[in-house]
Amino acid sequence: MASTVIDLERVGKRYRLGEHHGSGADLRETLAALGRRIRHRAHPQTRDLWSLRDVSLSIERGQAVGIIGLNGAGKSTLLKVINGITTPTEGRSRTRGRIGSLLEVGTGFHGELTGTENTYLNGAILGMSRREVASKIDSIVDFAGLARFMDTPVKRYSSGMYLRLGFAIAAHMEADILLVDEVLAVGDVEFQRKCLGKMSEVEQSGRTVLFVSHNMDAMVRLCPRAVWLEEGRVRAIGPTEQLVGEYVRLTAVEVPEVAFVERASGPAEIVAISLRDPTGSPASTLTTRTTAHVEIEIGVHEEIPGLDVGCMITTHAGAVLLDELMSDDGPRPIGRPGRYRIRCTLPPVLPPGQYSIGVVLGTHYELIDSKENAVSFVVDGDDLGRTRRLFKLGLPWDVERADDHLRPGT
Amino acid sequence: MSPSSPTGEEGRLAPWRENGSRTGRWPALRLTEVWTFRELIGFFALRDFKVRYKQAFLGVAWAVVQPLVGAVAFTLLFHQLADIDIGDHSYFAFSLVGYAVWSYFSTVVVAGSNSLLYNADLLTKVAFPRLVLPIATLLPALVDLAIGSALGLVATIGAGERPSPVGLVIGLPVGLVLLVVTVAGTVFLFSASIVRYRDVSVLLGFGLQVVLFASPVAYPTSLVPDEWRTVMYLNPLAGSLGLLRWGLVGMDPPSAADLLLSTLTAVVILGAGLMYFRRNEQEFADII
Repeated sequence: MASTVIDLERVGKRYRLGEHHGSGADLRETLAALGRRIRHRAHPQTRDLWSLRDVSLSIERGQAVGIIGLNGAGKSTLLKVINGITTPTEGRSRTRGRIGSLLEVGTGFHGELTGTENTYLNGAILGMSRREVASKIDSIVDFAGLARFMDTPVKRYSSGMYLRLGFAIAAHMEADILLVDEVLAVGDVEFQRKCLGKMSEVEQSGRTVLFVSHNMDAMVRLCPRAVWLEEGRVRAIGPTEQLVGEYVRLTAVEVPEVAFVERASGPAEIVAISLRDPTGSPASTLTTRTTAHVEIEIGVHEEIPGLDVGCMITTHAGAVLLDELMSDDGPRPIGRPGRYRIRCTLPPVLPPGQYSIGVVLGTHYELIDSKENAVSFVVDGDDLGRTRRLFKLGLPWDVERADDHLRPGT
Repeated sequence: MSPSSPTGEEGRLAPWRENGSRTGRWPALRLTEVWTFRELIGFFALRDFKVRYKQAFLGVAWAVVQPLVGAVAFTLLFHQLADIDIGDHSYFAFSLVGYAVWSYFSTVVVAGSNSLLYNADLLTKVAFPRLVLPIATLLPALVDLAIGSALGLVATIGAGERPSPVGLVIGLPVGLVLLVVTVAGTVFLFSASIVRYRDVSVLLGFGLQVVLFASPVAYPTSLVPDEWRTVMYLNPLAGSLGLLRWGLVGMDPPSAADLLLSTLTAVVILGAGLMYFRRNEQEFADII
């Protein structure tokens, strides 16, 4: 049943910079441009940006395909062209069947309308008929867990409820092609789990999934095949595991220390983050035996009772390995104005691989500053063939004889 | 796979849908595509209608209060003070119909012209026929138009005048179609151009004032000198007002020649608006 459902032929998408850019141009600009065109037959002030160029792609029914690439490589534009939101400047894109998207769940909700009213409206916007929504509304409400709030205007919803309702509607649309763009970055763990579950369900039912994400881990698990975009062009198409491996190798740059521009405007801020080896110098490469320190410098500008610092270590594939709070180790007085240098000891528990460090600053109630993936480093060494593990702990083991007749006293 | 899935059974695939750059000078109008999204038009219209009266103390009663207050003001200003005379007919009924038509025109032109702008996040995130948005704005204000017209009819009977039965059966629907066609064309044109040129909203403000004075809303066409009559009916609002007042107020209908003129302009406006919209809609998501 090899049948193509997405077919792109030399697709290019050009954006004009300098003219008609952003929020609409005014008439004077256009008249001026017209004048220039009459005199010079050229637009001297426009710069073309090709967000996609010469992209040819054909995807069969039932495939789950991942799209990888750096920011600005054209991933989102590609989905917009396939979805029909934007028109290619050259080439053509063809699709078969209904397209569903988990791009922007809840788009088009109106705050004054109730949950039920918004469900019908949003369903219609996504292309569902009134009958279709009516037959699924019980299941949608159930999925979102909002049975008691369906007659409440959504302006009274929390952002989590809003997201859940939007997702439940989008997930109940029976799409032949499902587009997913980074939704995993938002929402809580439970929401992400539902989202991934929905994707694999769609895939198993023989429909097509296109998945854009920076979460390489999820990408490898969900998509057998991937497309690698680079500056708007297709760099490679192939098995996801192989592509992701190469992509990670090529795009990783180790940054052992970083200092931030101080604003001194907020109540407190993160000033610098670095990874240091036992001698105290910045290190971008550790061995599997090195005990290192994450050094964080903060500036506190106001008295903040209960100020706390958190440190996260993430694998290059996006899995959060550690999320430690300083207060877990007992209270530390950093709430008074001033500068503090804070060190967190990182024991040699990481297997070979690439990691990044993020830092958050805040209290129990409020996030004041955060720097995600600010510092990155490599752990070098032999993985001893155990490539899939996340930690290398050297746990204590214990052995005793268990054959009864040899025990003394019997 | 669920039976309601559009691809149906294995091997039977939905037809190709193409997304490519425009070819040719004349855009395709693709009106069947809009028809398949008629439910969405209804939902957008319903949304705007509901939102208007949510948390409003008087609620739908506003639709009755507004035209009455408007017509009283018209009557005091133009009939009593400026001494505008419309012969044997009730000026109050006359101005109720004028107010209803005018407020439909101005309300929808403003709402419709901004419809793409107000829904910018939808344009950049969801794919659906863009024409749906301005079309949906034509509907909610029809309720007010109907209420205003009904009040006009009641005022006519209340003043002891006789509405025209022929006018009610023929003039009313034709006048309504003429009005909606005119507004639709205007709204297509302005909504599409406002995406690119924000100046249009400024233009809209004083443009509407000019149209108000140039249309026989508060005064009858009989006040206009004969040599200017033709120019007056180039404005389709004149034709529409004439037809509605024929039925509701019992006045004489406009001549066939005058009506033809109004109809022609309305059709030209609709065609031009539709064409302009279709020519530019591919860029909406990129430049809004």
